[in-house]
Amino acid sequence: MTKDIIRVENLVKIFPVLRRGIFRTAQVAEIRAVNDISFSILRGETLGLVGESGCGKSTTARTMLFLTPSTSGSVYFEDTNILEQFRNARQKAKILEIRRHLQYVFQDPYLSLNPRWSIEETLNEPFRIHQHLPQSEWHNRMLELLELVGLEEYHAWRYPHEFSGGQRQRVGIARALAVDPQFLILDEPVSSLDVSVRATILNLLLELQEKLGLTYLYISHDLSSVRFISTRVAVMYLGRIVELSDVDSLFEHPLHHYTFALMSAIPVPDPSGKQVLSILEGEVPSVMNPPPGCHFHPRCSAALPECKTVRPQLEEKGEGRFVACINPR
Amino acid sequence: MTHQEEKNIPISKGSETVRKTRGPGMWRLAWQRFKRNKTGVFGLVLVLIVLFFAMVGPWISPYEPNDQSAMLEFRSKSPPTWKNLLGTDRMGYDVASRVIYGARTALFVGLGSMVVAAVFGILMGGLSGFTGGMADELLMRFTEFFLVIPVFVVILVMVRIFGIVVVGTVLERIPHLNLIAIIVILGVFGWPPIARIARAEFLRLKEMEFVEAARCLGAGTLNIIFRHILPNALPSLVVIIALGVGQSILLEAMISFLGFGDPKSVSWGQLLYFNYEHLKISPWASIAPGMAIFITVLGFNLLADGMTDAFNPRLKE
Amino acid sequence: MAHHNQQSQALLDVSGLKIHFFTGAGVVQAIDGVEFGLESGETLGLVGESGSGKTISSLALLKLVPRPGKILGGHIRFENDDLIDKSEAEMIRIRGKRIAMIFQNPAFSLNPIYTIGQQLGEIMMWHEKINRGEANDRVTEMLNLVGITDPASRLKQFPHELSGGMKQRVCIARALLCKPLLVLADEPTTNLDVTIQAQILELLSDLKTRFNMAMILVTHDLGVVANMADRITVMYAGRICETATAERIFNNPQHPYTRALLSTIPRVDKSYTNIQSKRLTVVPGRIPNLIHPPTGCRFHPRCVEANGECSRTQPELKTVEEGHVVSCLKR
Repeated sequence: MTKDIIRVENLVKIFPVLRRGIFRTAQVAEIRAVNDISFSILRGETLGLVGESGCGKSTTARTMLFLTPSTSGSVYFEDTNILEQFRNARQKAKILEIRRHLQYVFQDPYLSLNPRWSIEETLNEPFRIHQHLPQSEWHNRMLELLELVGLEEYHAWRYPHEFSGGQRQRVGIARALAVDPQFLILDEPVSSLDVSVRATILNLLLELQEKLGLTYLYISHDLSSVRFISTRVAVMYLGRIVELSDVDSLFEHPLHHYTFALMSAIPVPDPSGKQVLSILEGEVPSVMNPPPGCHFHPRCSAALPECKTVRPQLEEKGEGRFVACINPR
Repeated sequence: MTHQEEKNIPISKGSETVRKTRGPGMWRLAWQRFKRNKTGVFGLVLVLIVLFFAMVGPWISPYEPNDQSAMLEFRSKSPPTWKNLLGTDRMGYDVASRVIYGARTALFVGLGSMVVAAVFGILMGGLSGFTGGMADELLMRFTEFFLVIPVFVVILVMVRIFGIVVVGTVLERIPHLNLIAIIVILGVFGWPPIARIARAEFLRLKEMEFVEAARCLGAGTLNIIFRHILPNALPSLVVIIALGVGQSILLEAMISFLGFGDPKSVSWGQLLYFNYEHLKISPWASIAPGMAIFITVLGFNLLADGMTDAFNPRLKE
Repeated sequence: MAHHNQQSQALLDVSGLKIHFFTGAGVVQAIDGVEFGLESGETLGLVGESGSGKTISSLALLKLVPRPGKILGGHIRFENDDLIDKSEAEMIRIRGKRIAMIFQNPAFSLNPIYTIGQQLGEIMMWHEKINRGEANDRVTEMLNLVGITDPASRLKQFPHELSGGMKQRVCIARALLCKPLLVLADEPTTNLDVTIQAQILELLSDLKTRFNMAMILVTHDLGVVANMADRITVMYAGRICETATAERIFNNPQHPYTRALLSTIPRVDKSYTNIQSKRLTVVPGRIPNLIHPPTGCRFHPRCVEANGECSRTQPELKTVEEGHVVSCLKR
């Protein structure tokens, strides 16, 4: 039985919608970007987190690493409540210790590297902050990292603008690996890359996972890459997880009606007998004012009267399959 | 065969060859682009000429700046001659010497006031942009207050009041006291544009992914401000500061022209003030300092323009 | 499906198209001898990665190549006219009326300061010489067709009041107002979520049949072309790799680049869980710099089949089977 490395419990993130007056600022509404979600990630696996724009997948990841403070809820890393630790700003050493284990790879490799720094400076930054290596070893470790991500020694002297998107993403991955983390959040790491470069980065991520025993949270709206890289997948809709399951069951026999709609909306690259894309009527409702009960009920073909009032909880239906639906498929 | 993407691939003839040396950084790249910009280089040349005269002034100037001996020889208001290359003015000063010494004053005023303004502006704007919220609101309202008051009139009043207040105090013994006062006042009133740019840059940069990446690694606030945000904000700030230098020089010239300047220092505005009544009799005494002001301000403006293009290549293409 | 018989008259025939960009860093040979054709009512998928020239090629059909680009040669025969010879004044009458365009980002392609009714009505009034009232009627009718509920009240709304999917519907309505013969759709669904993408794709195929329009669908998404296109043209580094029916491109690709592209994408309909140490096939190397493009075949530095000949001789487009052309020396 593998043990979970990350456990998220009742995580909530509310963004207030403010109206600025001359003298005071009033809160006119709130956006529940992450609405009470819980899940855990097993050591060595890749959990895919998918959903359409505005569903809260990136906010979830950002709150997990305290890039935005959460409203409530907790995140455990090996039984330490890390959000609590982050909040306590005085424990600098403890925070650095946690940061070493959990790292983040950003979406846009053009924005995630400091344009004024050479790659060497960028890769030395983690060593400078954490001081986990004597300075004499920095250079060797940097060369190791470059080799690990498939770059060469002379790349260290270059600046980000001299690199292609794929190479920059390699640097971003190397920077995250510099502190020997156990867990990486990959936030749309290939979305801004060209088709032929995507494969090389996805392969690199798999290779690193095998070599270093990493655990990933892979966030993407591109379902084909999620299918390729993930072990299990969680589907989010309007701030909630509606389904969490192993990757094959989720893609082949989705239980939630939203998951089903999402899966059948993906155009498959196969022209034989052109696929009839399932059309989900309407659009995602506003996050500011989501429908009561099950958020998906206004668009759901199998909605029951109680779907309008009862919020379905994420419950286990069958082995390792979780779904938040009163009337699953 | 995983990372084949950019590795071990024979790059074909005709394509760029792999360069295994240190690449140019952002500043060097900006300089390379700047060199191609003709107007920018022209501005730089103008500024360098002014700088040259300011530095070697005492050695190349034909007369002392306060030498009025021409008056005794009845050569005041003399047109340009071999003895006085740009003529003399109605007080018997050699115009060329006064203009050369004026370059020092102009640069002293321009750069000095902008140092004051930059310190204030970056501090205010940076704090405002980085912290956000209430502090931002307050600081920006304060900045706007400075932007809407008729600065020039206020400066004139302050210069005059200061001139009266110091009479008879120990402060009077400080050389060029009035000029220093003008510099500080120009700086104090010149910071709002810099603060606005600094705020906008800090706001933009603090949300950038590379700043978040640094936070993910556990970098502290000071580390993020001084190593990530400020260096990336500098290009925009340098441009607005270069524009400000030209502005300050112009303002000082106007202050001196209206007779509010420092009587003890040699300034182009003051030369105009001494001679504008004799514009018809001895135009050379007004034209030369006028040209000097024009060249200097133009130089700084073109330089700033060139730098904008060099730092933001996309604006042009 | 593909109608490639001799009788049907080609609507569009592009040949020898050559476009260079004169930048400070050098001349970018962005499009170099591109050719493709289209019959009325047909959908052609133009597929390629960034820098392949697919967007520039489609903009060239409207003679809207952005500066510092210049069309240096070639022919764009559209309904027996050569658009290359047309003046700007003549092109203005063609754009929007006979050839219309749908852009990638609906948020940027609608003017934020005019209402939907104003900006769509304007086009009708300009091209069809009708008054505001008639124009409004026609716009309302078209908005209804693209699936916008309560179109009459939408006329008075501004673009920011609509969601992303709605904006793209408005853009589609705008493109179809004058019932053009050809619609250029440049990545029309790339910025949309998958469920909205499915709605828009279905709408596009419906409208295409209804108006018997031809469409050029520019995209990098092989799933989208597989579902939409009759024929597909694959581009690489400013040249055509191959053109064939969608079925043949996917089932019997001839060009090594097409094969590489097809094998490098992860498949959503395939299980990867039982594979030990799963990996995707990669295309080695990187997209070339078109200021100094590779000699001969532009794909040869990355090609698994390339030999010395490929680096010297530029391959011509040749027919390997009825309606299937490939530019590769090995075929």
